[in-house]
Amino acid sequence: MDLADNLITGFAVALQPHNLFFCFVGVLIGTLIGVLPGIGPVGAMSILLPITFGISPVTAIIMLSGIYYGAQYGGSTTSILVGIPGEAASVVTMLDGHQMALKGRAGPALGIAAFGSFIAGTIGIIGLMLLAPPLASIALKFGPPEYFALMIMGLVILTYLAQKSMAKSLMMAGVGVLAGVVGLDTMTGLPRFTFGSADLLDGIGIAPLAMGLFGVSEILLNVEKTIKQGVVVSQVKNLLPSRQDWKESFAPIMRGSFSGFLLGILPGGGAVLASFISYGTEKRLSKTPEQFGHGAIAGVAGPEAANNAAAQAAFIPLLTLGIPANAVMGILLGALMIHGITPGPLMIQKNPELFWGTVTSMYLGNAMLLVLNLPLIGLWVRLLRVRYAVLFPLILFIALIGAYVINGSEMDLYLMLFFGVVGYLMRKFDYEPAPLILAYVLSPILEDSLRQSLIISSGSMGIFVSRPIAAAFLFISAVLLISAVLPAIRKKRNALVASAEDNN
Amino acid sequence: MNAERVGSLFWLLFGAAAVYGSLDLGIGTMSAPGSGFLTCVAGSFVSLMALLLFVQSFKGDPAAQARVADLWVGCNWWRAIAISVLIIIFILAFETLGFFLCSFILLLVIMRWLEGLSWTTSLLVPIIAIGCTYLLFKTILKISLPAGIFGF
Repeated sequence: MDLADNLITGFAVALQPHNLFFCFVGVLIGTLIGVLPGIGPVGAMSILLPITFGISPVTAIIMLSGIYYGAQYGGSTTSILVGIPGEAASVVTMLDGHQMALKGRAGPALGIAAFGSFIAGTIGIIGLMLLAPPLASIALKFGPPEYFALMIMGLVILTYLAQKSMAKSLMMAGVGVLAGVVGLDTMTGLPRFTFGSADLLDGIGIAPLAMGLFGVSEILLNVEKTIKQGVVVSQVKNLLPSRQDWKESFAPIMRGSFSGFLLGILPGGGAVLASFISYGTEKRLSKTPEQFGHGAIAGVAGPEAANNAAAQAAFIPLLTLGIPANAVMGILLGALMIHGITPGPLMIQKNPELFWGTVTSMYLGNAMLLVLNLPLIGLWVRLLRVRYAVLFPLILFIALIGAYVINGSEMDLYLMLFFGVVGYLMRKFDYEPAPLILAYVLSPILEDSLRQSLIISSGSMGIFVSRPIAAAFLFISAVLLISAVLPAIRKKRNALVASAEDNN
Repeated sequence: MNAERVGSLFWLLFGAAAVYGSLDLGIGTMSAPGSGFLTCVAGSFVSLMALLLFVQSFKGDPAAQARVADLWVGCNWWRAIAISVLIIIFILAFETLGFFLCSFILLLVIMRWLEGLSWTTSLLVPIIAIGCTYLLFKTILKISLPAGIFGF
């Protein structure tokens, strides 16, 4: 099948009324959680995971994907109008976007953010469409050693780019692997760490784990702080950017789209890093760098484009290799597996409707987001005035009911609370939960590929270095690990992290 | 107590417990790895990283000098505890009291008494939220929710 046939297949799926409806629901929820500070896409997707059980896999993935890329759009609204990032990838947008709003240019700031996101999102989708099938064909040559090495590389890159201590992130990845082995061993049928509970034989569910670590823990942290209601800039006029605005923004949008796309493919790279790098690039390339931080439109356009392109690119490793690039993709992987679909190189061949349906739904979702974010801006402005005291009990309530309905079991509720408290303490003690969830999702594949590799090689670890692709992945991992402990590079990395935290 | 040391000691013990558990499961051999093989590797790795962090905490890095009590300075920590206790009570009572009653009491207690919202908001928002959730799960997705001893 050529690209045109694939696109026709995809649109035939995406344009079905129920898929269109769930795509709209997804981008609407995404915009909502992007707009509202206090809950991110990982928390929202995990909380809403149970809702997808009653719908088909393709519809579920269309909706969950919509939440993810919708959140990238919505986050910019809060950043610009309130000066509080709605979600992590919008931190940079806030620097110049809010300054523009304070100077009475909220309209063009929101407009360029939405158009930039739309252009970048579209470029990201085209890249995904063109790159995923050939990458999947290459991945077909992967055996267990290559998969094992690739997953190790993914985890190392994720921890290398972690905002906090790399040792802590690596340790959290180890804890995630341990959480993933709970339950019956698929090879021997032996129960592991179930403590006699029949509920744990199937392992720890991704929904209670993710809801606890990202949803409940966030609520516990937020309720103990006094959340300041930001001053909302409610005067929004002239949403369409002027010719001059476009002139200043076009090149940053293009650069942001391409750099964001490349960074999005990297495991652990993702939207946050892409937006920071784009901002730095635009500031360096600008003829008037002194305007950055005081309302430069390029400082909104570039990072917004970058974080949206990165959000689309993150689907590539998941859909072609079955390797999630970040925690959100980890939740999507979990959702696919719950629906009996294993993402990987064979998925495009075996489930073309799912792959092409999801990709083409993103085109439609991006168009919906443009409508949701520009003409309906007044609605979001009103929503920004809803107090956290009203919001968090509702989020908690939906999480509780969501966790219960998966298996109709109280055990999932206890697990969710347990991981909520664990996540709360982890954040207090400066441990990031993202490597944990990613390693947890990868744990079963990691274990199978490790054991299969060792069985194939009769116990020789040489199998990981004698096969060129596996050796290359492990070499990259080793270089990253070594470079992280070299004083000069560690200094640079720490400086980058510090500047990111200052901006936070 | 130094927070970095307390944290790393906890994970050191956690990793060691995982290794101990893996021995029970059986590590197997290199050519035939057993059920506890990966657990042993991951547990050792966690302990090793924790040990590294523990040692690093003595190096005088200012970021690693916070005490455990400092982490809760200026926080209304009792609110986080109150929410956790309310969740436990909710779980314990959920199947007995049923979806409607339990959810309503949880939302009312948080909104009215913990957050001090007005009676109108504290009554209206839960009623709408519970109604919509019931409609979504029970009516549209046909997922059963506990009716409780009162039968609703």
